Amino acid sequence: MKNFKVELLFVALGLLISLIFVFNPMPFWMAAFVFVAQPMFLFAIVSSLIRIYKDLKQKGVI
Amino acid sequence: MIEETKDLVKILTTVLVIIDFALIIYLIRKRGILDSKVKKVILFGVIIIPFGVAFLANYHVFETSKTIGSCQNCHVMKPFTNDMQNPASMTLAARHYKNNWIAKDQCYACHADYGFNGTLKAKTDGYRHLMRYITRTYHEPIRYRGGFNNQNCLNCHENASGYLAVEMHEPLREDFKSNETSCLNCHGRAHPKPSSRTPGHEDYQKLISEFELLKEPKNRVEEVADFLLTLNDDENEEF
Repeated sequence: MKNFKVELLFVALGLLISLIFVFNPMPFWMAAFVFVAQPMFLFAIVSSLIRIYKDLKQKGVI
Repeated sequence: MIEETKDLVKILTTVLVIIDFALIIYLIRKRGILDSKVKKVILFGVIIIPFGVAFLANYHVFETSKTIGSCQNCHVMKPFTNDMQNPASMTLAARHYKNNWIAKDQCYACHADYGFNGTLKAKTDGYRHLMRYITRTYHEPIRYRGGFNNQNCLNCHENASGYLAVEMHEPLREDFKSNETSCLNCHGRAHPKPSSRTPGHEDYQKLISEFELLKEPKNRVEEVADFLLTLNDDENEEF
Protein backbone atom coordinates (compact mmCIF):
# COMPACT_ATOMS: atom_id res chain seq x y z
CA MET A 1 0.00 0.00 0.00
CA LYS A 2 2.98 2.27 0.54
CA ASN A 3 4.19 2.63 -3.04
CA PHE A 4 1.90 4.86 -5.13
CA LYS A 5 4.63 5.89 -7.57
CA VAL A 6 2.83 4.92 -10.80
CA GLU A 7 -0.51 6.36 -9.65
CA LEU A 8 1.12 9.66 -8.69
CA LEU A 9 2.97 9.83 -12.01
CA PHE A 10 -0.23 9.17 -13.97
CA VAL A 11 -2.19 11.71 -11.95
CA ALA A 12 0.53 14.36 -12.43
CA LEU A 13 0.65 13.80 -16.22
CA GLY A 14 -3.15 13.72 -16.43
CA LEU A 15 -3.42 16.98 -14.51
CA LEU A 16 -0.85 18.65 -16.75
CA ILE A 17 -2.61 17.58 -19.95
CA SER A 18 -6.01 18.62 -18.55
CA LEU A 19 -4.72 22.05 -17.59
CA ILE A 20 -3.16 22.65 -21.02
CA PHE A 21 -6.37 21.51 -22.72
CA VAL A 22 -8.60 23.76 -20.63
CA PHE A 23 -6.54 26.81 -21.64
CA ASN A 24 -5.83 25.66 -25.21
CA PRO A 25 -8.79 23.62 -26.49
CA MET A 26 -7.27 22.66 -29.85
CA PRO A 27 -7.89 19.24 -31.44
CA PHE A 28 -4.50 17.81 -30.41
CA TRP A 29 -4.92 18.69 -26.74
CA MET A 30 -8.54 17.61 -26.77
CA ALA A 31 -7.44 14.20 -28.07
CA ALA A 32 -4.61 14.09 -25.52
CA PHE A 33 -7.11 14.74 -22.73
CA VAL A 34 -9.74 12.29 -24.01
CA PHE A 35 -7.44 9.43 -25.03
CA VAL A 36 -4.43 9.84 -22.72
CA ALA A 37 -5.25 11.89 -19.60
CA GLN A 38 -8.63 10.31 -18.89
CA PRO A 39 -7.37 6.70 -19.05
CA MET A 40 -4.46 7.75 -16.81
CA PHE A 41 -6.88 9.18 -14.24
CA LEU A 42 -9.04 6.08 -14.53
CA PHE A 43 -6.07 3.79 -13.96
CA ALA A 44 -4.84 5.83 -10.98
CA ILE A 45 -8.27 6.03 -9.35
CA VAL A 46 -9.20 2.36 -9.90
CA SER A 47 -5.75 1.12 -8.87
CA SER A 48 -5.83 3.22 -5.69
CA LEU A 49 -9.34 2.06 -4.82
CA ILE A 50 -8.30 -1.58 -5.28
CA ARG A 51 -5.26 -1.09 -3.06
CA ILE A 52 -7.30 0.69 -0.39
CA TYR A 53 -9.88 -2.12 -0.51
CA LYS A 54 -7.19 -4.80 -0.17
CA ASP A 55 -5.57 -2.91 2.71
CA LEU A 56 -8.85 -2.52 4.57
CA LYS A 57 -9.69 -6.18 4.02
CA GLN A 58 -6.23 -7.26 5.22
CA LYS A 59 -6.72 -5.26 8.40
CA GLY A 60 -10.17 -6.77 8.90
CA VAL A 61 -11.99 -3.43 8.66
CA ILE A 62 -14.31 -4.78 5.97
CA MET B 1 -23.06 33.48 -19.32
CA ILE B 2 -21.28 30.67 -21.18
CA GLU B 3 -18.04 32.70 -21.29
CA GLU B 4 -18.32 33.24 -17.53
CA THR B 5 -18.81 29.51 -17.02
CA LYS B 6 -15.77 28.74 -19.19
CA ASP B 7 -13.69 31.20 -17.17
CA LEU B 8 -14.96 29.62 -13.96
CA VAL B 9 -13.96 26.17 -15.27
CA LYS B 10 -10.46 27.49 -16.07
CA ILE B 11 -10.07 29.04 -12.61
CA LEU B 12 -11.41 25.97 -10.78
CA THR B 13 -9.23 23.60 -12.82
CA THR B 14 -6.13 25.71 -12.16
CA VAL B 15 -6.82 25.85 -8.42
CA LEU B 16 -7.46 22.09 -8.22
CA VAL B 17 -4.31 21.30 -10.24
CA ILE B 18 -2.16 23.53 -7.99
CA ILE B 19 -3.61 21.91 -4.85
CA ASP B 20 -3.13 18.43 -6.28
CA PHE B 21 0.49 19.10 -7.27
CA ALA B 22 1.12 20.29 -3.71
CA LEU B 23 -0.41 17.03 -2.42
CA ILE B 24 1.68 14.97 -4.86
CA ILE B 25 4.88 16.69 -3.69
CA TYR B 26 3.82 16.01 -0.09
CA LEU B 27 3.24 12.31 -0.90
CA ILE B 28 6.63 12.03 -2.63
CA ARG B 29 8.33 13.48 0.44
CA LYS B 30 6.43 11.13 2.72
CA ARG B 31 7.11 7.99 0.68
CA GLY B 32 7.44 4.92 2.81
CA ILE B 33 5.19 6.40 5.53
CA LEU B 34 1.54 5.44 5.71
CA ASP B 35 -0.15 7.17 8.61
CA SER B 36 -3.74 8.40 8.66
CA LYS B 37 -2.73 11.85 7.33
CA VAL B 38 -0.96 10.32 4.32
CA LYS B 39 -4.04 8.14 3.65
CA LYS B 40 -6.27 11.23 3.61
CA VAL B 41 -3.85 12.97 1.24
CA ILE B 42 -3.92 9.90 -1.05
CA LEU B 43 -7.72 9.98 -1.00
CA PHE B 44 -7.80 13.62 -2.11
CA GLY B 45 -4.65 13.72 -4.26
CA VAL B 46 -5.13 10.51 -6.22
CA ILE B 47 -8.89 10.00 -6.22
CA ILE B 48 -11.12 12.98 -5.42
CA ILE B 49 -9.24 15.89 -7.05
CA PRO B 50 -8.30 14.03 -10.28
CA PHE B 51 -11.96 12.98 -10.57
CA GLY B 52 -13.00 16.63 -10.16
CA VAL B 53 -10.46 17.82 -12.76
CA ALA B 54 -11.61 15.12 -15.22
CA PHE B 55 -15.22 16.21 -14.71
CA LEU B 56 -14.39 19.89 -15.30
CA ALA B 57 -12.28 19.14 -18.38
CA ASN B 58 -15.06 16.94 -19.78
CA TYR B 59 -17.51 19.76 -19.24
CA HIS B 60 -15.03 21.98 -21.09
CA VAL B 61 -14.87 19.46 -23.99
CA PHE B 62 -18.62 19.59 -24.48
CA GLU B 63 -19.04 23.31 -23.92
CA THR B 64 -16.14 24.52 -26.08
CA SER B 65 -17.14 22.20 -28.89
CA LYS B 66 -20.35 24.22 -29.32
CA THR B 67 -18.69 27.26 -30.87
CA ILE B 68 -18.01 27.85 -34.57
CA GLY B 69 -14.38 28.59 -33.67
CA SER B 70 -14.05 25.14 -32.17
CA CYS B 71 -15.37 23.52 -35.37
CA GLN B 72 -12.95 25.63 -37.43
CA ASN B 73 -10.00 24.38 -35.40
CA CYS B 74 -10.12 21.20 -37.50
CA HIS B 75 -9.17 22.43 -40.97
CA VAL B 76 -11.28 19.70 -42.55
CA MET B 77 -14.33 21.63 -41.33
CA LYS B 78 -13.30 24.88 -43.04
CA PRO B 79 -15.35 24.30 -46.20
CA PHE B 80 -18.42 23.99 -44.01
CA THR B 81 -17.83 26.93 -41.68
CA ASN B 82 -16.52 29.23 -44.42
CA ASP B 83 -19.50 28.45 -46.61
CA MET B 84 -21.82 29.14 -43.69
CA GLN B 85 -20.22 32.55 -43.16
CA ASN B 86 -20.16 33.40 -46.85
CA PRO B 87 -22.85 36.04 -47.49
CA ALA B 88 -23.13 34.94 -51.13
CA SER B 89 -23.82 31.28 -50.31
CA MET B 90 -27.36 29.97 -50.49
CA THR B 91 -26.90 26.72 -48.59
CA LEU B 92 -29.30 26.15 -45.73
CA ALA B 93 -26.59 26.73 -43.13
CA ALA B 94 -25.50 30.01 -44.80
CA ARG B 95 -29.07 31.29 -45.01
CA HIS B 96 -29.62 30.56 -41.33
CA TYR B 97 -26.36 32.32 -40.45
CA LYS B 98 -26.62 35.48 -42.52
CA ASN B 99 -30.25 36.02 -41.56
CA ASN B 100 -29.47 35.53 -37.89
CA TRP B 101 -32.10 32.81 -37.57
CA ILE B 102 -29.83 31.18 -35.01
CA ALA B 103 -28.39 33.70 -32.60
CA LYS B 104 -25.20 31.89 -31.61
CA ASP B 105 -23.33 28.56 -31.72
CA GLN B 106 -24.80 28.02 -35.17
CA CYS B 107 -23.07 24.68 -35.85
CA TYR B 108 -24.18 23.25 -32.55
CA ALA B 109 -27.79 24.40 -32.98
CA CYS B 110 -28.26 21.85 -35.79
CA HIS B 111 -25.81 19.26 -34.49
CA ALA B 112 -27.11 19.40 -30.93
CA ASP B 113 -26.42 15.76 -30.25
CA TYR B 114 -22.78 16.64 -29.61
CA GLY B 115 -23.53 18.63 -26.45
CA PHE B 116 -23.47 17.65 -22.81
CA ASN B 117 -27.05 16.38 -23.10
CA GLY B 118 -26.48 14.61 -26.41
CA THR B 119 -26.89 10.93 -27.00
CA LEU B 120 -24.13 8.45 -26.25
CA LYS B 121 -23.94 7.58 -29.97
CA ALA B 122 -23.27 11.23 -30.86
CA LYS B 123 -20.55 11.41 -28.23
CA THR B 124 -18.82 8.26 -29.43
CA ASP B 125 -19.10 9.63 -32.99
CA GLY B 126 -17.46 12.83 -31.81
CA TYR B 127 -14.57 10.90 -30.26
CA ARG B 128 -14.24 8.86 -33.46
CA HIS B 129 -14.07 12.06 -35.54
CA LEU B 130 -11.45 13.49 -33.19
CA MET B 131 -9.33 10.34 -33.37
CA ARG B 132 -9.54 10.18 -37.16
CA TYR B 133 -8.62 13.85 -37.46
CA ILE B 134 -5.62 13.57 -35.14
CA THR B 135 -4.33 10.42 -36.82
CA ARG B 136 -5.09 11.84 -40.28
CA THR B 137 -7.05 8.70 -41.15
CA TYR B 138 -9.81 10.49 -43.06
CA HIS B 139 -10.41 11.29 -46.69
CA GLU B 140 -11.78 14.49 -48.12
CA PRO B 141 -14.55 15.12 -48.84
CA ILE B 142 -15.72 13.94 -45.46
CA ARG B 143 -19.20 12.49 -45.50
CA TYR B 144 -21.89 12.25 -42.88
CA ARG B 145 -22.62 8.67 -41.84
CA GLY B 146 -26.32 7.95 -42.08
CA GLY B 147 -29.07 10.25 -43.26
CA PHE B 148 -30.07 13.78 -42.42
CA ASN B 149 -32.14 13.92 -39.25
CA ASN B 150 -35.18 16.16 -39.70
CA GLN B 151 -35.34 16.58 -35.94
CA ASN B 152 -32.48 19.08 -36.37
CA CYS B 153 -34.99 21.33 -38.15
CA LEU B 154 -38.06 20.38 -36.14
CA ASN B 155 -36.40 21.34 -32.85
CA CYS B 156 -36.96 24.97 -33.82
CA HIS B 157 -39.55 24.87 -36.61
CA GLU B 158 -42.08 22.28 -35.47
CA ASN B 159 -44.32 24.72 -33.66
CA ALA B 160 -43.31 27.89 -35.51
CA SER B 161 -46.15 29.78 -37.18
CA GLY B 162 -44.19 29.98 -40.44
CA TYR B 163 -43.90 26.20 -40.55
CA LEU B 164 -47.51 25.57 -39.57
CA ALA B 165 -48.75 28.06 -42.17
CA VAL B 166 -47.31 26.04 -45.07
CA GLU B 167 -50.10 23.74 -46.26
CA MET B 168 -47.66 21.38 -47.97
CA HIS B 169 -46.18 20.48 -44.57
CA GLU B 170 -49.49 19.26 -43.18
CA PRO B 171 -49.79 15.80 -44.84
CA LEU B 172 -46.07 15.16 -44.41
CA ARG B 173 -45.69 15.89 -40.71
CA GLU B 174 -45.42 12.26 -39.66
CA ASP B 175 -43.04 11.59 -42.55
CA PHE B 176 -40.84 14.43 -41.38
CA LYS B 177 -40.76 13.03 -37.86
CA SER B 178 -39.89 9.53 -39.07
CA ASN B 179 -37.38 10.91 -41.63
CA GLU B 180 -39.36 9.29 -44.44
CA THR B 181 -39.25 12.64 -46.24
CA SER B 182 -36.25 14.91 -45.80
CA CYS B 183 -36.64 18.64 -45.22
CA LEU B 184 -33.69 19.06 -47.59
CA ASN B 185 -35.77 17.77 -50.53
CA CYS B 186 -37.45 21.16 -50.78
CA HIS B 187 -35.18 23.46 -48.79
CA GLY B 188 -31.87 22.65 -50.44
CA ARG B 189 -28.52 21.39 -49.21
CA ALA B 190 -27.39 22.16 -45.68
CA HIS B 191 -23.72 22.41 -46.75
CA PRO B 192 -21.72 22.51 -50.01
CA LYS B 193 -21.93 19.33 -52.08
CA PRO B 194 -19.14 16.74 -51.64
CA SER B 195 -17.60 17.41 -55.07
CA SER B 196 -17.05 21.10 -54.12
CA ARG B 197 -15.35 19.95 -50.93
CA THR B 198 -12.92 17.68 -52.76
CA PRO B 199 -9.31 18.94 -52.91
CA GLY B 200 -8.49 19.81 -56.49
CA HIS B 201 -12.02 20.94 -57.35
CA GLU B 202 -12.25 24.57 -58.49
CA ASP B 203 -14.65 25.40 -55.61
CA TYR B 204 -12.44 23.81 -52.95
CA GLN B 205 -9.85 26.59 -52.88
CA LYS B 206 -12.60 29.17 -52.53
CA LEU B 207 -14.19 27.22 -49.71
CA ILE B 208 -11.02 26.97 -47.65
CA SER B 209 -9.68 30.48 -48.31
CA GLU B 210 -10.30 33.39 -45.99
CA PHE B 211 -12.55 35.43 -48.26
CA GLU B 212 -14.92 38.10 -47.04
CA LEU B 213 -16.77 36.23 -44.32
CA LEU B 214 -19.53 37.42 -42.10
CA LYS B 215 -17.89 37.26 -38.69
CA GLU B 216 -21.18 38.25 -37.10
CA PRO B 217 -24.57 37.44 -38.61
CA LYS B 218 -26.53 40.31 -40.09
CA ASN B 219 -29.79 40.93 -38.35
CA ARG B 220 -32.19 40.74 -41.22
CA VAL B 221 -35.21 39.41 -39.37
CA GLU B 222 -37.33 42.38 -40.47
CA GLU B 223 -36.31 41.89 -44.10
CA VAL B 224 -37.26 38.23 -43.88
CA ALA B 225 -40.58 39.10 -42.29
CA ASP B 226 -41.29 41.48 -45.18
CA PHE B 227 -40.27 38.76 -47.64
CA LEU B 228 -42.63 36.25 -46.00
CA LEU B 229 -45.47 38.77 -46.09
CA THR B 230 -44.86 39.19 -49.80
CA LEU B 231 -45.15 35.43 -50.23
CA ASN B 232 -48.40 35.50 -48.30
CA ASP B 233 -49.73 38.21 -50.58
CA ASP B 234 -48.80 36.11 -53.59
CA GLU B 235 -50.72 33.14 -52.17
CA ASN B 236 -53.84 35.27 -51.72
CA GLU B 237 -53.75 36.52 -55.27
CA GLU B 238 -56.36 35.02 -57.54
CA PHE B 239 -55.06 33.72 -60.81
